Amino acid sequence: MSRSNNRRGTMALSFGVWLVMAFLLLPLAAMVPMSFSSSALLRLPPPGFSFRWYEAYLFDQRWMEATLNSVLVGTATAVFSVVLGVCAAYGLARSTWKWKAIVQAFVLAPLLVPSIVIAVGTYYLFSFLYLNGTYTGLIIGHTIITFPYTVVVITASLERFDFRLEQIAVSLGATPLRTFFAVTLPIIRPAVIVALLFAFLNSFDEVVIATFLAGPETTTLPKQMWDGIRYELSPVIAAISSILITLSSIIILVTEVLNRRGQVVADGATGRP
Amino acid sequence: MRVGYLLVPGIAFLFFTFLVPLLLLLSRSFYEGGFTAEYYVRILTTPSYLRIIWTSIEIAALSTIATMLLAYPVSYYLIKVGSGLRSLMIAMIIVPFWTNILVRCYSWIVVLQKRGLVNALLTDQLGLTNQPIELVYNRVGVLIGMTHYLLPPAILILYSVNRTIDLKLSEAAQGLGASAWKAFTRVFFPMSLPGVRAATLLVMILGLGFFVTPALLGGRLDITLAMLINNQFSETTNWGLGAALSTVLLVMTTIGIAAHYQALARLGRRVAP
Amino acid sequence: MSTDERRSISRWLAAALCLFSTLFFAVGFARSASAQNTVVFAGWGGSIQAAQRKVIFDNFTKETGIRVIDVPDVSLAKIKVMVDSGDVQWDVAQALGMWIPLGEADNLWEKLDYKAIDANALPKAFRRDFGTGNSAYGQVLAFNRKEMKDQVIAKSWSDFWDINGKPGGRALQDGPRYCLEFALLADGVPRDSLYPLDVERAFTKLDSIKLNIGVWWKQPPQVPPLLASGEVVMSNTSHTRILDLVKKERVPVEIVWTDGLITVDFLGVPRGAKNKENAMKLIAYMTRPDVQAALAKETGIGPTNNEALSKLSDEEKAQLPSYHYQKGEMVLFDNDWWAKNNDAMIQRWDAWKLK
Repeated sequence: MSRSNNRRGTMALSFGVWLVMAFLLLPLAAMVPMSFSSSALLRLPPPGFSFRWYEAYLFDQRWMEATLNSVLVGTATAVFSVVLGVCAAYGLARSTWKWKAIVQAFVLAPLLVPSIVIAVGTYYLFSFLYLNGTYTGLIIGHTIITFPYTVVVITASLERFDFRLEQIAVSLGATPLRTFFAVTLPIIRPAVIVALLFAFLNSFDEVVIATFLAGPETTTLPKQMWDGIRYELSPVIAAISSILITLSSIIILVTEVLNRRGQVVADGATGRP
Repeated sequence: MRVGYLLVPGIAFLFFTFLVPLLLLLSRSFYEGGFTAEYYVRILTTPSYLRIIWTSIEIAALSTIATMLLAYPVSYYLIKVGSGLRSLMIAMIIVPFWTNILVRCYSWIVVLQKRGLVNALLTDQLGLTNQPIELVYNRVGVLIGMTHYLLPPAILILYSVNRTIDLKLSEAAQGLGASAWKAFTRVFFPMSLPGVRAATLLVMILGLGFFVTPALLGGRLDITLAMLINNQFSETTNWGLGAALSTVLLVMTTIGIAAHYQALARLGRRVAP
Repeated sequence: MSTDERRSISRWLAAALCLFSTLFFAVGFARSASAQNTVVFAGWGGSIQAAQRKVIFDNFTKETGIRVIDVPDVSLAKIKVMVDSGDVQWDVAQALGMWIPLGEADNLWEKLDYKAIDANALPKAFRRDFGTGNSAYGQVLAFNRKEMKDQVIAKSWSDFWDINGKPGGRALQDGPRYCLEFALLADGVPRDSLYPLDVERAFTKLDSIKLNIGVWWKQPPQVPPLLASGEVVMSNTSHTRILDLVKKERVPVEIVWTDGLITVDFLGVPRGAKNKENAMKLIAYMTRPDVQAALAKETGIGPTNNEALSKLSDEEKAQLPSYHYQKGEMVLFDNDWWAKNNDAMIQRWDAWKLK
């Protein structure tokens, strides 16, 4: 009796999960047709079929520059936040400081502050440092809000990490640095990758801070999409999003095929190095 | 403590780029030429502001609960399922990440509006209802939009942390006579709490900061604190009030985090064997 | 691929990423260089600014040799930060009329050089010390002709308030600006005695329609899809959107000019702008009647220069708020009243919405 219950339970779980997945993809079912619409209004069903929005994106220098900027800034931001994040998470996990909770709260603080407050404050500070409109300023601005994410993700992973493994390595003669790269990092690598991904995606999608810190030559893709939001909303943004999701799906599938044993993102192993 | 030094880069970075500008900006809430408590008094004595604060908490709480209820089963399923299907599912989960929040909101509007996809399905195709159901421009729309946005990070955090839980332990418990449900609640779930804690924290904090989704998908009564703050800083030059509102939001979020830690600690104690 | 090979590839990848990021970060100090003889124009972005580039900026460069760099998303908040910190990146800002008096209070604008700018053909209200009126918009009632099934909508706001006589969904801008005026006009206040606004009367009138508003829109681009899809049959909007909707999308939407508000965008120079002289030249150019007429032909944006109207055909004029204002059908929006009362009205509006 309990086995048929189990099977029913598993079927119910599958059904529920796939409902959630359908929910996740539902707005895309609206977005993709709209991207091929001949109308400039975001509406369904589209009155006609047209590639005009894809052309408007791919053949426009401003859009292409903005995309490139977003990719560059996103990558640099991801790398910095993860480096800072791994250091901070590791330091927090290993320390037995009394003030640990306060430091943890401080690291999370940027997530609590509305992004417009961070944007205005940073804009103000950067005015004096002539960092406004520069890539450097934008990277810093984005790192402020992606760094806490990376700490959260890596801390959670370190909570499950058995630090005795490190002690063993040290007792076998490894230096602390070597231990970290050879023992700890491989085990928390999936979390590091998730952190990199989060940081990149957050930077890539971030608009409020970019509106303040980016200049005409360093403008990012979301800022360009929000350009004149007070004035108009064109299906170009649906086309751009469709292209991005296609690209990212291809990248993930290709990565998966190249790593048939499943080591990169979709890993099934229990963390063997 | 040598390990403590690892915290220095992260903390120093946040100190100069985040804390200093933030304090400068927030100081305008009580100092404008002279010390003043007028903004805080105004907030605490205006019923509409208090109502907005309550609405923000409500919306954040509801969407956090909805998100976690949906995310947990999906993450559990991801862990159990084979690596091919897993990659596909992760691709499907990440894909919404790549869509700009504006596009997502407008897509939801097209799906949920009176003559949108859902209502067309219910009325014309399935004949389930005569009148269109109001799914957008109200609280329902806001919750749908926010849950949709919060699901991917919640699922991914839960998955990346909990994937190291050895499923064989649950299987062993079942082999010893426990039902699948008991094996889950007594073995798997307690071990998944660090992931749950991290995910819930992030989702809750994010939920308090939403201003685009409630603005576009919400109705007359769906005003959040983040919306107010955003308007203050973009539309007016009166930053004293905006700064005071931001401080209130910060305090609220901090209290929320503390309460959340308490609640999960208590849950952990009850569920652990 | 063996584990070792895979591991060394990931190591190389990681190292490459770190190296690139550091280099990019360090080199990224390169700002947009201020070339010689430029002027930076901050405007609304989108298709308005695209039209301005096509009709105004490129021709200005041809005539004067001054390069125009145009940036979108102008905001008073940013201007304030720029002026306060001394790093003023914009030379000319397209400002909501209200921003000029608001900015004056915070000392954000340079005094305009009316020797360089010929503003004599502008109505006096548009010739301020710190700003010149440049683009006129009509805040009007728009309705979906097909959905209204040939009902007559001519009285504008009283028709909007007439839920029973003219049924259908309504959308209204989520904010006191314009809505207070609409309420008073619906309540019968004559056009020339609108200001100073009787706020109590306006909110009482708004009470009667509060529960019938289906969508409280926050961003102007929300309105065209709302009207086109039939989600609402009536909404307030700015006239240029309806012109686009009719011309390009062939949606059966119409404007009621009677009792509309005419709002004027001003051009201002943030205090401390780096290219002040060029800024004045650009403003002078944008104030010329032929330039304003060209913009009106392209976008339907109303000119402020009285001489511009004479350069347009009757058909073109009928689409412009300036023309309907001259005919006496519209009310001029009072920027000074709003500059003084905006904060209080916004607070009152939020409180009113929640009751």
